[in-house]
Amino acid sequence: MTRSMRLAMLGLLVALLFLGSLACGKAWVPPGAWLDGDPRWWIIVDLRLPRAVLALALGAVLGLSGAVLQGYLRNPLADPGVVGVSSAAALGAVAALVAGAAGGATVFAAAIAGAAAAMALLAALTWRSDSTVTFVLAGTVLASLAGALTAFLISVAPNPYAVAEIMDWLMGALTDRGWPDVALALPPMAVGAALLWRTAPALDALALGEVAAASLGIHAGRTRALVVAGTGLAVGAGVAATGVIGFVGLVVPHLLRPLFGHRPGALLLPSALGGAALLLAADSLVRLAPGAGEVRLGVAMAMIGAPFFLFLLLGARGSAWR
Amino acid sequence: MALTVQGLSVALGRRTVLHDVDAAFRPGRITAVLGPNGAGKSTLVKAMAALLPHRGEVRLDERMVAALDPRERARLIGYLPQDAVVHWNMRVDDVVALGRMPHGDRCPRAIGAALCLTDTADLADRPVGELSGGERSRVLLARVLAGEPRWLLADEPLASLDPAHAIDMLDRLRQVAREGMGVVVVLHDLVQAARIADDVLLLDTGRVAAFGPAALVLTPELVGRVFGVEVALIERDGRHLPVPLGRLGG
Repeated sequence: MTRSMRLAMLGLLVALLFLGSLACGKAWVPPGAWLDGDPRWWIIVDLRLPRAVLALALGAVLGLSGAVLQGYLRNPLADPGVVGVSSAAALGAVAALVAGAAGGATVFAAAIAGAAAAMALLAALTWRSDSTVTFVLAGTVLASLAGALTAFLISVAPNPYAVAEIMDWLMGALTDRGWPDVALALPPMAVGAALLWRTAPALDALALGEVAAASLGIHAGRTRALVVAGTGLAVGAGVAATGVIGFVGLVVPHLLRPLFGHRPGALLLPSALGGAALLLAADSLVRLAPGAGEVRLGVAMAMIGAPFFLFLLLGARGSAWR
Repeated sequence: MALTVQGLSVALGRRTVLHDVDAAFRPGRITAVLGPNGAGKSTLVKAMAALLPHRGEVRLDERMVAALDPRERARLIGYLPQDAVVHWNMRVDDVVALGRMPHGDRCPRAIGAALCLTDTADLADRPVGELSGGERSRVLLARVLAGEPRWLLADEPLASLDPAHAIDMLDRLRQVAREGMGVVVVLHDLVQAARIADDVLLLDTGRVAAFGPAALVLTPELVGRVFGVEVALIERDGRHLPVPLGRLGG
C-alpha cells in the first residue's frame, strides 16, 4: 500500500469517527432528525458538533506537536504533556483565572504564553545536549514546577467556587464546550499548526544532528522560533479550551512509525490525522460509559497513555534510539 | 572554484582554538588536515563551512563564505560530520535524499550517482539502523555527494572504520577529487594521509605548522616534532609513508 493510500485510509477513519462522535451521547438522536426538523437536531448542532470539532482540532494539534517535538529534539519520548508544556499552559491559564479573569481571551492568551515560555526554556536547556536523560529530566522538573505553582495558586485563590471550577477544568474534558470555545480556540490552533507544519524539512535534516543540519542550510534559530511559537499557540490554545489532555502526542507518532516510516517530516500529517482519530474515538467512548456523568477525557487518556509510556521506556532500554 | 582561508581565528568559550590560519585549497585535489588531538582540525573545517563563528575570511573565489545565503552555501560546500549518526531509523534512500535539501529537489540522477559511487545502491530501501558501521559511513558520504557540492569537507571519515573500509573510503574521495571536486579531509592516520593526499595542512596547537605538497610536509623531522613521535618512512608506489614507531624522548 502506498503512502497516499494509507493517508486516505487515515482520513476516512477520521471522517467516520467524526460522524460517530455526532451520534454518541446520552440521548439518541435518530438519523432522520437531520432532515425533518426534529428539535433534537439542536443537540447535534449546538452540543455535539462543537465538541466534535474541538476534539478533531485538539487531537490534530496534539498529534502534530508530538511529532514535531520528537523530531526537533530527536527524542521519541517527547510530547507536550511529558515535557511540561501542557502543565505550563495550565499554569498560565490558572494564574489568569485566579487573578480574576472571567475566562475567554485572557485565559487563552495566558495559557499560550505559559506554553511558549515552557517550550522556549526547554529548547534552551536541552538544545546542545544529545542526551535523552537531560531532556526528560528537564521536562520532568518543568512539569513538576508548573504543577506545584498551579497548586500554590489554587491554594491561595480567594473564591472556593472558582477553586472547584479550576480543578474540574484541569482534569481535561470536552464536556459542554460550545461554539464560543471553538471560535476562541481554532484561530491560534490553526496558526500554531501552520507554523509547526513548516518545520518538516528542518526536522528531516536534524536527523543527522544539528551541525549537519546547519551545513544543509537549515537555520537553527528560525526552526526553534517556529517550534516554540507553534507549540505555544497550538498547545496553549488547546489547554485553555479543554484542560490538560496528555499522551496523545506521545502515543500517536509511535503507532504510526511502522506504517509511515521514521522520517520525521513525513510523520507530521499522519500524526495530525492519527491524533484527531484517537481523540474523537476517546471522547466518544467516555460519553458512552454507563452512569449519569462522564469519565474525564484527560483522565481516560492518562489511563491509556501512562502504561504505554512505561512500555516505551522499557522498550527503549538498550535500543539504538539513545 | 578555489577555497581560501585568510587570518582565520576561532575562539571556543575563552580558549582560542585556531590562531590566524592562512591556507589556499585547490579544487580537484585532496588536502589532508593533520595534527595532534586538540590542534584545531575539526574546528578548522567547521569554520570553513561557516558552521562556527570565526574571525578572518573564508572565500570561495571572490565570495565570502559566511556572507552566502545558507542554502547556496550548502549547495557549494558539503560537510561530512565526524559522528556517523542518524537519529531515526530512516530508509537509506531518504537519508541520501537529505543531501538534495539545499537544491529543493530529489534529483534521481544525483542520488543514483551518489549511491553508485559509494556502492550503496543495493542498500537503498533498507532502514539505516540495520546497517554495519562501514555501510552507514558510506551512506552518509552518499548523502553529502548527492548534493553535488563543489567542495567536500570531511571530518575524520575514517573514525569508525577498519583498515579495509578506511582504504575504500579514501579511494572514493580520490575518485570524487578526480572528477573535479575539492576535498579537505581531517585524518588521524599518517600512513593513509600520505597514501592519498595531494596536499597536507599540518596543524599544531591551532597554528599552521606546515602546508604544502604531501611529500614536502610529511617528513620525519616535521611530523616527529609536531606529534612528538619517532617516525620511520617506508616507500610504496613512489610515496613515502611515515610510520610512527614510538614517542620522542620517551
